[in-house]
Amino acid sequence: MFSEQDIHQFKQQLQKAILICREHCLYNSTKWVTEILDGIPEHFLNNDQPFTIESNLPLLTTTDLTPELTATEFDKYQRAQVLFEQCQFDNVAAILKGYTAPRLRFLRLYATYLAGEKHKEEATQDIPVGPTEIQPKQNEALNGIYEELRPIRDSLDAFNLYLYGIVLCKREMEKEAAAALLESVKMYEYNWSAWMQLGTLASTTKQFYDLKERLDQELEKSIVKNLFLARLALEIHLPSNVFWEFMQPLEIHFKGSIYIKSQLAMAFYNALEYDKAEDLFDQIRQENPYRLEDMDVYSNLLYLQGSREKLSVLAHECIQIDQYQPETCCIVANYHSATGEIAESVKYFKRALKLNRSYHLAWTLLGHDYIELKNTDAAIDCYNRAIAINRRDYRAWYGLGQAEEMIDKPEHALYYYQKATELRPDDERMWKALGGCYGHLHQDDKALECYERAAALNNM
Amino acid sequence: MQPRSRSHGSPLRGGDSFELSSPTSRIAASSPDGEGNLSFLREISASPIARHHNNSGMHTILSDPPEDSPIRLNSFTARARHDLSLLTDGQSSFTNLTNRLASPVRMPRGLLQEVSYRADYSCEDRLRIIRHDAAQQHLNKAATFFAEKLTAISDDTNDVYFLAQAYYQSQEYERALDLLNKKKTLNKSVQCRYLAGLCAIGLENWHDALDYLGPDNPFADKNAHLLMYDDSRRGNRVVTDITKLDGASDGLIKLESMMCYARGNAYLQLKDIDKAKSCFKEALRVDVKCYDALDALIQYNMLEEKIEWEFIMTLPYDEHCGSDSDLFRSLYMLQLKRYSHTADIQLAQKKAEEDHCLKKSLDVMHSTARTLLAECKYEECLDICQEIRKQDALYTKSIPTYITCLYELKMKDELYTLAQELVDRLNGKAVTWHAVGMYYLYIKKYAEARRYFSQATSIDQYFEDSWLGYGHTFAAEKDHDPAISAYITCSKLIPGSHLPYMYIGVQYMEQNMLDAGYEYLKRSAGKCNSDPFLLNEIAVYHYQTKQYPLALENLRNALKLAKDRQSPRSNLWEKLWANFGHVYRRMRKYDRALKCFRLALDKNPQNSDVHGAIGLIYHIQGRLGKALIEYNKALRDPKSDNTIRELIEKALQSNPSAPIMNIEEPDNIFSLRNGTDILENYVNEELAALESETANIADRLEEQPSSHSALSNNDLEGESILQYDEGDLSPKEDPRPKLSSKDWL
Repeated sequence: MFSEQDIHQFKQQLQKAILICREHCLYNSTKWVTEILDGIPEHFLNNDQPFTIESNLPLLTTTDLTPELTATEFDKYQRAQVLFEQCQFDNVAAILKGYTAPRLRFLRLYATYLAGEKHKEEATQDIPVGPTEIQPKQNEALNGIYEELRPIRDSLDAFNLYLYGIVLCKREMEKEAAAALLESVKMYEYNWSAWMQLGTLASTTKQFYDLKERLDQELEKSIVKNLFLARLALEIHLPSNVFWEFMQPLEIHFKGSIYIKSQLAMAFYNALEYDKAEDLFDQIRQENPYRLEDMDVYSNLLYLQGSREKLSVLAHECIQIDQYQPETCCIVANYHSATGEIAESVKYFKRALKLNRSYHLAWTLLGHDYIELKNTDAAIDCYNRAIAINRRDYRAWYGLGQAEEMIDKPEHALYYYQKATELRPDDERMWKALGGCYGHLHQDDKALECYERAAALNNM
Repeated sequence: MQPRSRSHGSPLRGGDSFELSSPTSRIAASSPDGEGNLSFLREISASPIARHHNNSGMHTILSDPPEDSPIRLNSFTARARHDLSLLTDGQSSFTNLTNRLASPVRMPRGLLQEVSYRADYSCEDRLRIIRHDAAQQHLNKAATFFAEKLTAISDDTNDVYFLAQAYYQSQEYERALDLLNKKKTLNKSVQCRYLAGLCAIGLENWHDALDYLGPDNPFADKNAHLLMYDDSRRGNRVVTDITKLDGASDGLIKLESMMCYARGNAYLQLKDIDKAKSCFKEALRVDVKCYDALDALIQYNMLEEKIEWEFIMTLPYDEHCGSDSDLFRSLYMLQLKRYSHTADIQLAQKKAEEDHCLKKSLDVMHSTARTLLAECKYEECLDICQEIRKQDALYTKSIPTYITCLYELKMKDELYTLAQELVDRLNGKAVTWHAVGMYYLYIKKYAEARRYFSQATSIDQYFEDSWLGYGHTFAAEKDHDPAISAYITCSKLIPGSHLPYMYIGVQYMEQNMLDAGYEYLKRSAGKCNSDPFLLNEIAVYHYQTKQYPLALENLRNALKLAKDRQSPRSNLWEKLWANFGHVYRRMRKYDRALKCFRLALDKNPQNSDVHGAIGLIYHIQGRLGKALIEYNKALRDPKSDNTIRELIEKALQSNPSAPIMNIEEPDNIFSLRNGTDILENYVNEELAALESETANIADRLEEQPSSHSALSNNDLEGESILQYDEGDLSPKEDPRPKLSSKDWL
């Protein structure tokens, strides 16, 4: 589907994207681009000559890196960038105050946003995790950013549009957010963060195809689009053939990419092909023993596989790498959970959450722990938090259903099972749960129908 | 992040000690109306002589000064002094001296010497010149010394007057009064009477002051023209050209007007607000230039919005100010309230800034700040207030505006710093304690806030902001009765403000005493009918009493007023759209209601009341999945009440009988082409509906059946849900009353 020529061009675009994303202080996007680029077959790279921007990146224009800024603006921007790297977000915002050149505006507002997120986290830091906790605070910076960007919506560049999209997402203005993010990725394809933000807007199969249709109209042939759709298919638990449809043509070209590998591993994991997933994860670990990302998923997998020894080794190794990473805490918690030390497990999940409040996987798993401990109130609270962060987390919805069933509220449970089933219509477990719930409510016809759906899925 | 101790402790308490030690407080205590007195002083010293002729304006006869008396000379030097005082006003005495020496324009001293060298002057004349100079240069002892000698020599009323004035300027009010009485000047000279009145005011003997000044304007029954052209007033029988005798041509402020002002002041202190008001108004009508009277009218907010406009616009500027009439009109217009006539005020602002080069004037800048505040543009307003403070940190007029901005922008630390600084520097001013009160209001320490607000009102009982703040502290604690009584006190003291009545109305409505509330809202509207916030409250009343078309009409009127004048950041919009939504919801125009709710959410996505109401609409329409999503959003607000939980319960109970996957497929959210789907035009739609009420009725008839069919699907359920509807989900006015109050604080 993609020719050598396409891949060659794509390589150049990626090399350029590294410079541009880094210029905008979008480190996640930069990292993603480097991970893709890392997997590019060697014959695309001209390794016998020294790498120069002139010879390798003819696509790069000077305005990509140094657009028309005045000398003052340029100097301010350099200063702001350094401070941004040191996470002094308030300081960045203050230094760039009043500047409206697109790049400066973006960095200023982005820093404002991050500062707001930081303050939000800090404000909720001391509160104990549990059902007594008060509601999470809002990011105070959102309204200011919204009011600044909204009047000039139509003249924003790709990066400001991305930021505007984030703000709209937070304001739950989904249509507008989608429009802004679509426009952003259309203007500049290689900002992976914008794609990820766009992805959070889709949670059902229908939405996936709505989005795909729109993307096919806007971006006819784009490797990034395919990578995105593959990822989205994984995230919203579409049948694995959808994922492969997008990934197959790319996999050949990017075999070495760590990102692609972990995507494949996740795909097997989601499709309940645990053995294949485990093999791939092992491979990833061998190649990148110090990469903590996705290892939490691996630990989940090991937990489900019941391979306590491997889990123990993984936990030890991760502690060696960095014990104060949320992923590490989550892995350790999983280990304790597997050995039946639920209290320890709860402790480590809480630690993970202290390090990162919006770690929805940890919230869900903590909820599972509380279910084990028969503390349904706490479990419900945890699940609700997971959903508040990521409403596509079917495990949290399912967990909520279970918890409500435990406290004998079948009507509530039914609603939550419905939500879980909506997210994962091809999972027989969901239909079974739904059927059981209808049974409790003496809706036998409906219960039967659900069981039939489950049976049909099982036979496939 | 702030150090904890700041926000949690009550650091300002330490400030109390300042109150005791500060010298300013002593001054304020000795002259309860410090400002007024100072302005008296200023005026007297500016033109001490020009009006000591005006004696026979009263019914009494004062011996006319001899033709060739030093008084004429004096009036000449006085004019020179007058110029001097204008030129060097505000500069230090040292620079005055150097300036005077350096620039020929500023050399009245040389002029004086020149005059005094004239050989044909007697010793008395020379003493008079020295006396005037001493008084002018604040050498009080010298002035007293020479004045006393002169009275001993001549026993002339003029000389007695100047001695009394010298006493007055040394703040020896009683001595001055004694002198004026003993020398029996009061029946001979109006000027002396005026000074006696000022002395009585200085002594806080308000009744005495009224005795001296007369309970009413004694000149009022006389034909004003006669008075104005009365030859003898000028003490010069030779002049016959009437226009030259006119106050306008002389350019000074008329004594009659000043007396009216002093009288008003005395009445104000006696709490006779109506009398005071009419005195101040009279002062201005007699002489537009008597700014003190205008300042009093504005500062004590004595005039209702409409009356104020009419009064200020119809003052005889041309007659009194001649070629400067435009300047005066523009400047005075800037003092107006900011509810209506925005374009006119804007024009006046422009004129003052550009035609009259007053861009840098504090008052003109303050006027811009007031306009911005009324439009809820706090950031911009803050900038101007800070600019004003940079120029003059003790300019108290703009401080309440500044405080409001800081409060609204949640700048707690700056508010604290400001309050601290004011306590240090302006210990005796009401606005200082108002700032402290606002700080405590902000950190929600209501008892402390109350204490400081009442301290502010005890310093200046006509300080509206603090009265309202005092009421808000009770309102914030849902303590309705004391809140209402605080607002009532405020409404009595400050007749020009519609806000106390509005807040009383809101308080009654919160207690579900709708009719009592409406009564006060109506009264408030009687005082000012162009405040969109007020119209919004009235709409809430109509909503509560199920008079939906009336509610709509009020909301639309509010929208019309707010459309161009409220900044998009104003918190009015959220309330307004939420209330529109509720009214349409009750009228079962669900599509419109949803549109309005969306506009409300655009202003505040976290508004749980709106989320609940949207959920209710979906619920009634049988879209349980969507309803539950919205209910859950409403539930995110920790303050959300049980109604939402009950509604969720209801929805969940009916869920099992609905189809298995009763979750609606969401709309295609990826279909939007251009970014702005926000219903900007909806404002115009509503306004058009206001224009054509008939179309509105047709509209209603047209939509009625469709909403019925939507309801018939689940008729019974719909009805039972609507019962909730009547209860707690009604459009609540801001539960934090201080927020709605902010615009005016």
